Amino acid sequence: MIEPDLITRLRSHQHTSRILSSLLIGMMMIAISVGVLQLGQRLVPGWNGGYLVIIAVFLSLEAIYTRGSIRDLEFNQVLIFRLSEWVAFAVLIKFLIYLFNGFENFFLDVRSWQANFTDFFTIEYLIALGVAALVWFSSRAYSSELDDLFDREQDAAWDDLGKLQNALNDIRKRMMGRVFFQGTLLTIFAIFTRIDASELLRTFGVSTPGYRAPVLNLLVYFMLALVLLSQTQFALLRTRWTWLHLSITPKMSANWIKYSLLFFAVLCGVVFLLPTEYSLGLFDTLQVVATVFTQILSFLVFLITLPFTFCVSLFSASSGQPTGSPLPPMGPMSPIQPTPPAPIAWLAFIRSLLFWVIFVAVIFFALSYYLRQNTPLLNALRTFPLMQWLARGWQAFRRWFSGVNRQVGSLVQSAVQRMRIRRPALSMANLRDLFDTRQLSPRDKVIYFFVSLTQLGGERGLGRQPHQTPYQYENQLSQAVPEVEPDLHNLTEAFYEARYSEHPLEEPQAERAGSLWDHIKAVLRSWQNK
Amino acid sequence: MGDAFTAFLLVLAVLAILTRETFVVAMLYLFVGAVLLGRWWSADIIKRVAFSRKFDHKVFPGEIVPVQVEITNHSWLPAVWLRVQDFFPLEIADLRSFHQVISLGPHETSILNYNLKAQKRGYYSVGPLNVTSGDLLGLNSDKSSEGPSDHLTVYPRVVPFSDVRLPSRSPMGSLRTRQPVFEDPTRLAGKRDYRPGDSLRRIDWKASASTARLQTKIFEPSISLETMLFLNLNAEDYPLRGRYEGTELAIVVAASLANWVVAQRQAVGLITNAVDPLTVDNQSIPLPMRKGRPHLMRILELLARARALETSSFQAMINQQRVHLNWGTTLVIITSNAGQSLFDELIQSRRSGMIPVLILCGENPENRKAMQMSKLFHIPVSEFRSEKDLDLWRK
Repeated sequence: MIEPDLITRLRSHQHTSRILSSLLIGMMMIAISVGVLQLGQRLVPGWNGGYLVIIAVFLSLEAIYTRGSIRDLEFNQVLIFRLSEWVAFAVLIKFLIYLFNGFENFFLDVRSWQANFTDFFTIEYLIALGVAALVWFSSRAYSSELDDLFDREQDAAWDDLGKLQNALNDIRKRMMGRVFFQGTLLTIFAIFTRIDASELLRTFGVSTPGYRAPVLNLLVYFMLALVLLSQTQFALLRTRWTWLHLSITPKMSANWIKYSLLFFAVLCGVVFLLPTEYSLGLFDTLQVVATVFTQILSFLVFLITLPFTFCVSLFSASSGQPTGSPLPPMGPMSPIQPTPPAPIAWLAFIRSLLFWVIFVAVIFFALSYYLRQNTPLLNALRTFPLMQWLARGWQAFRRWFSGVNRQVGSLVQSAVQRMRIRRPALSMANLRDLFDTRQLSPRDKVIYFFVSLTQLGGERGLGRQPHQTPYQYENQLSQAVPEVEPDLHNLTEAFYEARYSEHPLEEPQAERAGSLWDHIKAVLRSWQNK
Repeated sequence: MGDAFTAFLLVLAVLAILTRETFVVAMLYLFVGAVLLGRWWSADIIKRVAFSRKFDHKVFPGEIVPVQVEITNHSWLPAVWLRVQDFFPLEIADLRSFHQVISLGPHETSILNYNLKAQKRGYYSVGPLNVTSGDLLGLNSDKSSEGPSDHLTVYPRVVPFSDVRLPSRSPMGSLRTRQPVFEDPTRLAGKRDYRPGDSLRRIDWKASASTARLQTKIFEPSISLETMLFLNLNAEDYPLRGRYEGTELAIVVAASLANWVVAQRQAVGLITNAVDPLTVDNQSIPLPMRKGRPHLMRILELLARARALETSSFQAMINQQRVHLNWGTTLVIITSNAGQSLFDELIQSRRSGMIPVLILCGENPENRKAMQMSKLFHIPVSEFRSEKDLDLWRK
């Protein structure tokens, strides 16, 4: 037998939960009515259906209240009460429709009702009645289930716990089913409200502008539904605790309400902040990540090999070869392709990356947590050959990766040390000197001017073909730009001398080639291809 | 709940894929987040809830022990519900069980109180304290955590003896005796006229001068009572019928005697073959003879923990331990059955200069024979069939 003190406390908790649950149901009905309203306004722009919200508030609270108040009436009395109640609702709904749409046509409508009473039931009125019925019956069903869920003190005193829990779980499942069904309906309403169905509607003769209805009511509905479901969980636990004769702290009810509202409100806020409008799929994102990774790897390889290439270049320079730099490869100088526009906006990419990272992390966390919690399953999985092969592969990859990591690290370190020890003179100033024409030898200057000519020609559509010798290229340019023909010829001769002769070149020769190049450059820049 | 929930998530996922509406994805996030965050929340709370128990760990029988359970939520998240359960044996239960449901805010501490009642001597485990919590929707299984156990020692009942007569041969103590051989030069009893043969060291020169006659000091004889209690808790030595009562009575006698000896400011020790759950090999450690209340409490603690099981031979234990005792020590043998072998040990002890005293506890049909043997061997003996018989020493 349960102590009277426990029963009193249980009733106190039940009372608080009951009031809150009734309010939650009322607000959920408002959210549903707003969904219907938005859909109606989407279908019939300009429809003033604000009264649906009032109907939802009034009817849901009325259904909850009258369920308790008529409990002691006889069946006949209940029947009469319900009939009169619905007649009153019908009148009220009609009144509300006129209140929102104006009473201008009221007297005309009354006359038409006298002539034909079916005129009383307009489509708008029938829809409003439908919404009212949905709200009223839903609220009544919720209220009935809440009563079944909360008023369990006698069962808690006498019934078997397992039987009691099963009964409560059944009620809870029914409530959840209704909540989710109505939530799905509301979601579908919202989808229909928001989709761009102008073309489709036009085929039905309805012309509607684009419309992006807010979905706050949907979010509020689900938030309230979660709070309501948490209250049902509290009812379940409370009955179990009462059955076990446990003392429950008096502030439990208030805390449960407070923390559940706070938790689900914060969750809704977080959900709204999370990226949902990601433009990239998983594979696109992985591709971009792989590209970035490859570029970083290439850069690292370049850094590692830089000292070696530099050493090799020094060796080739000191082996009696001509002092000038080797002729740059005269490959096909195709015209510069216009840079394609970036396929991915960076913001979208970051959001997409963030989304997939969170998504993969959540999946990984959930799976690993699930497997950790189910040790037998994990052990069973480990016995599968495929899993063993994957595990071995993963271990091998980790070993390889750690080995590569070590090798790259040591290579970079040794390269840095070599650079520091062997080439102390190679400073930034030296590097700058490499790209300063004033610091070039006369031979290099002449070659540089000719190469610049080929590049500028390429930019002007007069690129050098791979099979063309410098003379052939000179002929091609001379035909296109005859005004600089002598200059072109002199510059080509100078290039041949610089590139293939072994005698040293003097600075005046390089200056002459420079002046030739300056003249050709000025002409070529103003040259238009005819 | 799980099936409906999963079905609803699938419907949302299908709608999200078909319509590519971001708000449907957001709703999917909402429900998945409710499950995952709920799971993480309850797990985090269980990890960050600290609990401790405070109570007086050593009490006498009949005392009510207030227990204070302190539960602190160290998390920044609130603990919506926490089911706190503490376990304790029936012997110390004042209520059927301690089981409470509380709610804690972030960094909030709650103090819960309940009482234990020390109904029976013993060494009891209190706990472990079990704390369970769960999520708001009941979609995840409840998480629980257990704290460490504490122990409650209930001392044995102590009967206040006032008229115990234990013989002793230890000279120079604080107990008065009639044996003139144990005269104590520090305890001056009076003076008399000198008689020939009195030692010159006994002459009181000041008194002789004032009376003009030689006066001899008279000293009071005194003894010290060094008592070693040998307690037999080998269950086999107690008759099956009344075994529990017999062993408990023996423990009460040992505790009461120790209390009396300490009250006389004498040294007392305890050697028993009982099982002690606190030692590694479950063999109780002998407590040497010491004076004072702290030592008495150690004896009482050992007696509180002592369990009568089938253990080592009592006679063998006496044989091993008596060689470490001083000449003149009083051996108080508390047992149920005294056979020939035990009397052999007691006679050997007496030959070693110790004074054995036999106390028989509990109902035993062999007691009459033991009484006759003790008379035969001039070994003092007392028989206590029940706690009422202890009144003999309470006069």
